[in-house]
Amino acid sequence: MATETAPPTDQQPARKIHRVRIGMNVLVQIALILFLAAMVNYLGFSHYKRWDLSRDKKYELSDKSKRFLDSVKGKIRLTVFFSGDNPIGQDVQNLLTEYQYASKGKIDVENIDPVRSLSRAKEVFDKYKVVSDESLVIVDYEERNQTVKASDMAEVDPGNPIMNEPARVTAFKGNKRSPAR
Amino acid sequence: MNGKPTPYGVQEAFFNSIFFWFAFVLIFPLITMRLFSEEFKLGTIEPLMTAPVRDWQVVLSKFFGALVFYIILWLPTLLYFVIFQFVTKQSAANSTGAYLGSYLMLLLLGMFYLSVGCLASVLTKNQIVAAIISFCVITLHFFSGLLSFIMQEVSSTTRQLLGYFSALEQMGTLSRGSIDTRPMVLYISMTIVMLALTHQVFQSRKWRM
Repeated sequence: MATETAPPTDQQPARKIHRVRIGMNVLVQIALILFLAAMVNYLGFSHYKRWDLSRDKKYELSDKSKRFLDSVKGKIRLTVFFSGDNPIGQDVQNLLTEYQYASKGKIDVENIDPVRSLSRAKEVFDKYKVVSDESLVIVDYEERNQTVKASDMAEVDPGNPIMNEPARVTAFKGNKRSPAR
Repeated sequence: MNGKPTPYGVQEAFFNSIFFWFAFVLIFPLITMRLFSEEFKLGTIEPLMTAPVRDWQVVLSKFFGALVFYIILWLPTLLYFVIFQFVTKQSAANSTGAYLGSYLMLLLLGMFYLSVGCLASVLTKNQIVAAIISFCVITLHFFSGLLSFIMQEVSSTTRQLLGYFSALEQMGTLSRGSIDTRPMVLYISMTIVMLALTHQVFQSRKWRM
């Protein structure tokens, strides 16, 4: 009997678990790791590199336009009027994303589908005094604005929609530069 | 496709199609749901924990076991492109960088989703509950990436912030061949966080009750 009861009494002090203490310790550890992860992601979000390994470098910006984006002071506002069925709509979106990444927060983009949101389209058309029923992009920089038509961005063969990408990119860049001067 | 020439390769079309994503988000709960829950349920965790292994070793080996299995699951897809090139005598992707980008994205996203599955599995004894938890988290993350496509007016910072978490957008850029460091930082750090949480939950059964 005595031998049976002895082990628990011996072990009792050693087995005591300070739950609150361990719990606090674990909470602090979790908070620390979340904080560290948030900091790492904050740094990773603002300092990043991007390599274009594709062969055609379809959406890569030229050094010239990168230098231009560096020299820009203030905001550039782009309003994109593209109906959903435009063959180069997705290309324009991808290219604008690259511009946004390269500009480090200087470019704002608003997408308006002229077929679906008529009222907003009319509002913007009135603001910039534009009359057009074509897909276009309005560039607004320091109170000056310019429109770039979809037909200027790409050569689209209507029967067989293959895009002439280099032509589109150069046209885009040329129009981006002109309002800055 | 449909007989019309397209401006992108088959490889890009494959990794960005809805069929790919549908199957993709489904496999993670299936791979990870029984990692820990079955051990808890069958009680095999006891002999495992009497073996001379540390808790973090168990968590890491479970995770890497799942990861290796996941990588093996993806290997046959390389054959698709080989067969495509053999049959049509055309290249499936526009560059080697595009393969590199899309498989890198598969690995990164796989790591993150598998670690989410590990955490879900360690939380419960029931495999189905684990599967539901991980499926919810994974689909929430995936669909939050669609926000930038729905929102009309997107300022530069909001767009970048949404794009930072959007798996769909990252797959779009990486499968095109633009390698970006942001998804790498995001998914590797989130995997470490999830595994650390898994470790804490796994350890907590020693002091909780």
